[in-house]
Amino acid sequence: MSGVREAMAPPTDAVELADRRTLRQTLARMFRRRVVLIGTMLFVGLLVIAVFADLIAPADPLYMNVRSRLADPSGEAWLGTDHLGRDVASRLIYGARISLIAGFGSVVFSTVVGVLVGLFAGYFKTLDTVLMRVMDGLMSFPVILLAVALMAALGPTLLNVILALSAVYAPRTARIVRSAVLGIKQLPYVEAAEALGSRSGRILFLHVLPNCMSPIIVQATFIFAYAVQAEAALSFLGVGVPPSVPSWGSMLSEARLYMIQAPLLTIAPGLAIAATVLALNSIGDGLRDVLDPNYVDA
Amino acid sequence: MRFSFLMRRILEIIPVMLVVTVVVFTILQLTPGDPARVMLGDIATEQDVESLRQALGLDQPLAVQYFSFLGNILRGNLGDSIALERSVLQAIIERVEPTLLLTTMSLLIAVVVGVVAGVLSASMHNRLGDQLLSTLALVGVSIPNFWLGLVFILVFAVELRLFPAAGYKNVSEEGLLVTLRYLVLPSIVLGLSQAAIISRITRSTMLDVLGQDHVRTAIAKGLGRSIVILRHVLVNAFVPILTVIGLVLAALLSGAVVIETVFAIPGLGRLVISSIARRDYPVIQGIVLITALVYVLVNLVVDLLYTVVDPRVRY
Repeated sequence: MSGVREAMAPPTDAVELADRRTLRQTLARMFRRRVVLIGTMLFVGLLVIAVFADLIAPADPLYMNVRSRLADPSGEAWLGTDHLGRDVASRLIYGARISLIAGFGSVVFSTVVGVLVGLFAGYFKTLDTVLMRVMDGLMSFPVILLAVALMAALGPTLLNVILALSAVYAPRTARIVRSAVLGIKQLPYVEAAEALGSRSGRILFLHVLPNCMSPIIVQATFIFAYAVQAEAALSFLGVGVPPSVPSWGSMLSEARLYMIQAPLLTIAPGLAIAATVLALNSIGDGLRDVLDPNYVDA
Repeated sequence: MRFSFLMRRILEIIPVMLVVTVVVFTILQLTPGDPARVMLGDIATEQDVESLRQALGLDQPLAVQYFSFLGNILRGNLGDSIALERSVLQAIIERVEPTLLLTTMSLLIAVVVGVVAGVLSASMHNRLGDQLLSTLALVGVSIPNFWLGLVFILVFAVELRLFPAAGYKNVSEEGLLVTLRYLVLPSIVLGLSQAAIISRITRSTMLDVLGQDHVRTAIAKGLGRSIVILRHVLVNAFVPILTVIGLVLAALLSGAVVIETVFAIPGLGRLVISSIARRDYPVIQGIVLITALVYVLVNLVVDLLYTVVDPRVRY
């Protein structure tokens, strides 16, 4: 049986090759471009800030000190206070948490659903047409518009933001997984497994899925970036997380009214969103360089 | 282009649009509790709620509701607004002008800026200018457009006073020029975010074509660099660029929702957002449906244009 196992081992393939390179080579390739290194460091920094927000934040992000509204930056309030006298720096720090939770949650949900749909559509011909037409239909809506409409129905909570964004992004993952599966299921080792009478589920999850991981990981990173931006947009429009939660998007929408008196209130959250999305986009670019040797963007 | 392909491609729209109608129908069903009560609010009497329930057919079984919804759509009836005292279609038509102008202008800006930047980037491959433009494109896709809009208002409207900070005048009110002045800042903001994507694709397809034999021949013949790039490279890079334009349109329609809110432009995007506050679900559903339809049709046209742009493509 072990001989058969070996014969069924996947052939050399992107993932295998990546495994075989030494870790140092892989990392060197990933960080070949300086922007990827900077992005990764930025993201790690944000992660630390989000996790240890309680320790880092100088003040309670919800505490309103009406006597010092729209205060300038000072030793006490690093970035000043907003129109309700809340500490802007602390709200930014807690906002990182909301952004990353929304982004990560959307990645998890959309990837699980997208991968399942993509696997089944790619592997079972009978399901392909139906599943992919449904995905096409979902992809016919402009992203923010569908998310806004779903939020209108579901109501503004962080979980609903994650669900709405997952519904928007899952079809995109499904499409990528499906095309990867269509290529992989032609390979001899999958045929061998079929000939040996393995059950479809076993083949799909043990033999096909591991070889789709590269495009899935790359796609997940970009979805993370899109979702952070989309959450901010939804909260900015007032249909994202509830107003009481400090989110970069809702901070921007409140700051709009005081843009001229206190421009920092507008500038700071925007830079935070841009930095986070930039970090994730550059990590995505770096991962694609390592994991997807076929992608040419010389 | 063969007739059979044309027919097949048109027929393919039907299942996609069916899914679209199911999704749009579901929006109302997803509301927690009784949709009629949700729409009218707590102060409405049970009698009012009951009559709205009947008017919308919410007392019918789900399948019956869906098919009457579908039937109405096919007859061009998108229902009536709860709050605006007019039909959804009428509300949409009244608000469509700014959105149409905004997305068209943004698309033009995105394509022109994106293609030019991509061509420059590719022709300076791996030199400083290329790296600069590529980094700029990465920054461009990462900056949230609504924030860029706010910054533009601060700089170009409040500080420099070059353009109005917000608002909109209909073409029929004060003429096209005044209207366009109101749309300059929002269109640039919306267009730039998509220009970054177009420039990335243009650059990579250009590099692809630059390595091909016919380009080498043209250079060997002694043709000037700019003529080679324009006549031999860009023309062949057109098909992927066309595909992206289809995708960019969806992003622009998405972006319009946000940008119209930033610049207080009374278009369809703002109508959706204000309808959410009014719980005017028929209007939300109508706009989402129409937008999806426009997007599907544009992509159909893009697909058909392939054969025109690239004679090698045969269906």
